[in-house]
Amino acid sequence: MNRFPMNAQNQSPPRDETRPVLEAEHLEKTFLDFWKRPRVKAVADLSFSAFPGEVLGLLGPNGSGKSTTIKMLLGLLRPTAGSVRLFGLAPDTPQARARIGYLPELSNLHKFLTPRETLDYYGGLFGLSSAKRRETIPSLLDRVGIARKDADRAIGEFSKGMARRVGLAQALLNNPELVILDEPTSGLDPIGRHDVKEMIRELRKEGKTILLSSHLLGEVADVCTRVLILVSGRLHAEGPLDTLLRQNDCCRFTVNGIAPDRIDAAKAALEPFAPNGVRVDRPSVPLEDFFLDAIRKANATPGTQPHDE
Amino acid sequence: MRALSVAKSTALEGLQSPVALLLTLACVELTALQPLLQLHTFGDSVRLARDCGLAFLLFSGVLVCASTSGCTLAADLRSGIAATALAKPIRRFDYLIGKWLGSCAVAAVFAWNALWSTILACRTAEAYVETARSAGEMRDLLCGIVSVSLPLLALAFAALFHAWRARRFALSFFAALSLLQPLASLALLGWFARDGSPALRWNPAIDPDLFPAGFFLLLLLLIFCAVSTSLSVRLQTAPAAALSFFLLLSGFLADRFASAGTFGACIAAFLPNVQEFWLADRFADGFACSPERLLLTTLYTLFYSSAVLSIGLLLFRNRDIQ
Repeated sequence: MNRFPMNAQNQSPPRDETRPVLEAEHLEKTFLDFWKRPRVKAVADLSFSAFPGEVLGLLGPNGSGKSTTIKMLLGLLRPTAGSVRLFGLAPDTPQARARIGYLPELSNLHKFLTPRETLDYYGGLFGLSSAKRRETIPSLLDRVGIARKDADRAIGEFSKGMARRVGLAQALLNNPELVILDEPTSGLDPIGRHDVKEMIRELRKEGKTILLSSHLLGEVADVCTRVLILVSGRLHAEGPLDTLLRQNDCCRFTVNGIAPDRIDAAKAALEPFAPNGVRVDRPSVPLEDFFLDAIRKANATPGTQPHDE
Repeated sequence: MRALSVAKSTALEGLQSPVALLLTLACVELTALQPLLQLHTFGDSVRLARDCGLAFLLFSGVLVCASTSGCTLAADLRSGIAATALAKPIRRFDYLIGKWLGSCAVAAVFAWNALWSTILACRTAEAYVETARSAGEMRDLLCGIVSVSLPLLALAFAALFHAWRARRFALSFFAALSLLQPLASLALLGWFARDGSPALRWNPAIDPDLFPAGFFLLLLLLIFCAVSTSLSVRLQTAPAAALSFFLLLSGFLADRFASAGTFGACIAAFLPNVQEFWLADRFADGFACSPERLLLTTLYTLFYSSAVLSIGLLLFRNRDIQ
């Protein structure tokens, strides 16, 4: 069951599908020291755009400028040069921000507030009426997997994964058109990771634009339609994922139900067509699928309850 | 509306921090204990209890405000909580004002409790009492015991609520103390004479000067919150708190600066005139606080806080939020 279906609140106006949701042109960010001397150039000459319904992956090693780029897109950091437009507006305008959901790299939440109070606070910042907040918050908490008994506990008592779920809930509170997720699965267990990936797919189906920054390449490969690879603040590769990863001079056959003594014969039959050789291997189930299957089976067994996080 | 959301969360966060709870507890208990521990009062026991209570209110209040306004904002900026909030459709102006209002709410809760403990301390302190049986200096021991016990009772209530109803400890403590102290004061001061004998009719003998004195100190705390909040947008917690303390202490000398030539007068114009907020000495000289003075001081507080917050906003407007 998908635990993250989007609610239908704040339905956005019809959009021009060809117009970019997000445009960054020649972005540059140089951090200065106390005496205003250049200290480090975090981002240099970065240009890209994102279109409605796209899941754009932002990849790069530590210190490559991913989080700096995201903060410039949100108007939290002022670019040294270049410009950002969100929905055709400057990023620090309330009109643009009202259409964005942002999950920061670390779930930075007030530790003495409860999840309910936290969402009430962020709902207030989005300008949602108290009636709307009362209606939305319980269902949203339910959807991100925060149990009712935990909704009134201080976040300081939560595990990192639980706090992450509250962070996700605040990013979806306004039913945003553009969702910016900075390392969304950080601290989550495999079930949580799976749920987040499902959520991203669900959001994409609804036509939302998603900018996903992650270190986990498998995660990006699973959900992204296009990727940007940043190295030392510069764009090194960009394009649709299937184009970037496809090996055009190679193809793979999957033969189901083949008898072991026929493998060599099948290989020999293919060799005349393969100047660089034929490789035979036995495909394995991804560990994530195996794990989730094990959990499902355990939950289906009477007397076995899933652990609280 | 958005500023109020920030204010509400800041107040909730501030009231639940262990620092606010411990400082309030220390201030209220010290105020309650000091009339019982006085040795040489030279017949001025009530005045001493009042001045001590107000001094505890001021200096503990400054620490509470420093931990709420300065530390909270600086910590939010450092930890990224501010980044999450400012990525929402809220102007930086609203965020800053909200932070200040939230700190003011914490200061008000603190001042309310500190003031009632001062009222109880004044009643506990030795005073000349003439009864049918005897006459002389007498401490109200019943009031003393009650005022020392009330914070402990509030802690017990908070613990019970926490254990049975899963209510948050610090919030329950503040709620219990804020109710228990005024109720106990009105009951003790109204129904009992200083020697412990019951009064014929309810007549609470509360020193009326204490309310404006406490209110003026609260106004001073609001100025301190504004200074601390504004400095925190650029400085780390420790330098922001240190500078705010320095400004407050310099404010005690504002009158001296004002009478020390043009340069001194210029400095005095930028300092909060703390002497204007400290009414305890003036009451001893028979001073009565007029409504005009109350209004003017409130306006001065609002003007000074607005000016300081405007500077804070200028510093905050183009700040990079990490």
